[in-house]
Amino acid sequence: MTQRSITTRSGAHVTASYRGGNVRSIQAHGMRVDHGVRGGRHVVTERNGRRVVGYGHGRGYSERAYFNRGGRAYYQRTYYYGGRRYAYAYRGYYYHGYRYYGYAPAYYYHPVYYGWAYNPWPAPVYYNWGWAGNPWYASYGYYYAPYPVYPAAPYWLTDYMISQQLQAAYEAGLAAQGELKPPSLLALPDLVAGLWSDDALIAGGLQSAYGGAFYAAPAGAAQPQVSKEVKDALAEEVKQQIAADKAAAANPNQSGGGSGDEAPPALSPNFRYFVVATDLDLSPDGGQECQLTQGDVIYRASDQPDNDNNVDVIVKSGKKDDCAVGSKAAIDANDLQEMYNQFRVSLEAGLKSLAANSGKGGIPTAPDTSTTSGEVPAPTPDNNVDSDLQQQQKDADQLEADVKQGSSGQ
Amino acid sequence: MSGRIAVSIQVAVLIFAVFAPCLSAAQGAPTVSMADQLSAQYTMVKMGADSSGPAVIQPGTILVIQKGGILGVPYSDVSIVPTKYQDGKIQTPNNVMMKGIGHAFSHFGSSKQQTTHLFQIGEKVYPSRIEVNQAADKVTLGIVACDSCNNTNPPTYYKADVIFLFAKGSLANTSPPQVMDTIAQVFTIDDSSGGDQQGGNNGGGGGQGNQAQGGPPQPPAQPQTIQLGQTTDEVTAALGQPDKIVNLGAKQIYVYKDLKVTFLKGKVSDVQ
Repeated sequence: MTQRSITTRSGAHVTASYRGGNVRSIQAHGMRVDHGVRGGRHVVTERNGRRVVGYGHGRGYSERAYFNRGGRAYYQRTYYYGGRRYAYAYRGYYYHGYRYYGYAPAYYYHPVYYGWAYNPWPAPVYYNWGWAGNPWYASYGYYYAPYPVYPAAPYWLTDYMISQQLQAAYEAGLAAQGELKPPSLLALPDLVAGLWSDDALIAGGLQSAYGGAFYAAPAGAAQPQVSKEVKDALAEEVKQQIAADKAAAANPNQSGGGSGDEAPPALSPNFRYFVVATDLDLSPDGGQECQLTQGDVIYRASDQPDNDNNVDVIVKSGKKDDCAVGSKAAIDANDLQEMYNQFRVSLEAGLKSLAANSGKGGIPTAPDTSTTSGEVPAPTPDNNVDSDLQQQQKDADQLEADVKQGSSGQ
Repeated sequence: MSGRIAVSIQVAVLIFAVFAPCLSAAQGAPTVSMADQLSAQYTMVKMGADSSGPAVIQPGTILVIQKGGILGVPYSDVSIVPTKYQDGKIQTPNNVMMKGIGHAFSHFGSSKQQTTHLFQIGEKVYPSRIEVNQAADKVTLGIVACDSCNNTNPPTYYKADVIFLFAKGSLANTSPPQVMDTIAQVFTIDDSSGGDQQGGNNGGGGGQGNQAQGGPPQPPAQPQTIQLGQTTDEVTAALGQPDKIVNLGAKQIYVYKDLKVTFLKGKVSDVQ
C-alpha cells in the first residue's frame, strides 16, 4: 500500500492510499472513503457531533449522542434501508484506551419468557420455515440449511439469525448489482434443479447464467458449509445471551456496566463464534486479501487485543468467493464488537418472532411475552438520515474526483 | 505476518431492515425529550467563582462561531438581551435595547457600566445551557467565551444567549439532528484539536484547563496542547505528572483529572 498527500483544487489536504494502482482509501478532513477488495465503497463522515456511515445505494446510518444517565453516554443510530428508518441505542465506553459501542436494549421480556427460551422444549419441534422458492434461499442453499428438528429455542433462534443475515446479504448483492436475478427460474426451483450437471463446463455456464440459484438445485449435491458443529456453537452462545438477558430483565437498573475500563462482550469467554454482519476485508496469514460477507462465520482465537487493537480470528464458514475456511487473520476488536452488537439486535428480533409464532407450527406456547422498559428509552429514528446519506455520497464522489485530478496533476 | 483488516463495504443495515419492523413499537418505553437529546450533543461548561471572580470549573465542548453579531455581556451581568437567529440571519439586539438595559440598571441604583462584546466569526465559546420551548418554536443556547482558546487575557467570560427561531408549529416535527444542523449554522463543534468533542459526557473540552484555576491576574496562560506522536516527557512537561499510570506493556495510559492520554510504544496514540 502506497500513500500520497494530495492538495485538491479546493485547497483541502487529503491522504490517499493506493494498492495496485487503485485508490483504496482517502482520508480528508471529517471524511474517510474506503474501497473494499471487491470495489465497494464505504464512507464515514464526522461533523457537528454526528457520524454518518454510508454503504452506498442509499444505505447506511447516522449516529449521535442522544441520552446521558449516571455519567454514561448513550448513542443512537438511525439505519436507513429501503425507504425506512430504524433506530437502536448503544452505550459508549472504553477498553484499554479504545472506544467501543455496546448495544443497549430498549426493552426486556419478562424473565419467565427468557426461561422458556433457554430450556429444552417438551418435545422436538419440526418447523417449516417456508423458505422454499425464496430467491435468497435458493442463492445460498449450497451454503446453509436449517436444522431438521429443534430441541430448544436457541437452535431455532440460531437458524433465524443466520437466515436473516443471508437474506440481507442477498438483498445487498442485488442492490450492488442494481438488477434482479432471472426471476422466472428463481421462482421455479424444480426447473433449476433439472439443470444440474456434473460437467464442469456446463455447470460453469449455468452458474454464470443463474448465479447462486444454481447451487441450490440438487438436494445432496453439495453439503451445507455451515456445519452442525458451528451452528451448535452459535446456539450455545444464543443460550448464554438469553441467560444474560434474563438476569438483566430481573435487575434492569444494574445493566449497563460500570464507569471504568470495561471489556467488550465480544472478548468474553462466552462468545467466540461470530456471524459476520458487515463486509470485511481480511488479509490472512500467508494468503491473499479476501473478503468476508454477511452470514460467514469466524472464531475468535485470541483473548486480548494486541497493540493495534487486533485479535486473531479463524474463518469457520464462508460462502463461495469469500475467505477460505481455515484462514487465519487479525481483525479489529471493534469490528468483532460490532458483530456482537448485530447479534444482540438479531437475537431480540428472533425472540420477538418466536413470541409471535408461539403455539404455531409446532412451537410450544410461550408464557408471558410482554415487555418492560430496558436499559434506555427507545430512540426515535432521525428523519433526515436519508438526506444525510445522499449528501454524503455526493461529497464522497466529489472528493474522489478531486483526488483523481490531484493525482493526475502531480 | 499477521493479517490486517480494513473495513470495506458494510451492509449490516440490511439486517436491520429485516428485523426491525416490529421493534420500535414493542417497547412502549418513554422517549428522550428534545432538550435532553440536544444536551447530550454538547458538554456544558461548568462555571464557578473564586476570589478573582468567575472561573471555569469544568470546560465544555468548544464551539466555533460561524456568524458574527452575537451580543455578549460580562458574565456577572444578570440580564442578557438574547441574539436571535432565524432564516439564516443573525438579529443582533439593537442599541435602543441595550440602552434600555443600561437605563434600567441606573434606575435601580446600579452604577455598573454595561460593557458589551460582539462575538466575531472564528471566536470560540462553550455552551452553558440549552433550552427547548416547543410551544414557542424556539431553542435557546447559552454560551460563554472560551478565553483560553481565544488567547484572551485577562479572561472576560463574556456570555450570550442565542435564540434559534423556527417556523410556527414546526419545532414539534423537527428532529434533533435538524435542530443541530440549524445550530451548526451559527456554532460548529471545534474539531481542530482532533479530540472527541462530541458531548455525551465524554469530557469534551480541552485546552481550557488553566481557566479552572482562576486566581489573581497571571501571566498569559497558553492553552496546553497534546499532539499525536508526542513522548511521555513532552506530555508531562505540558500537563504535569498524571494522577495514575496504567501500564499495559507497550501501551501506557496517563490518567489526568479530565484527560486520559494513551501512549503506544512511548508515543501519544490517543487522547480522551
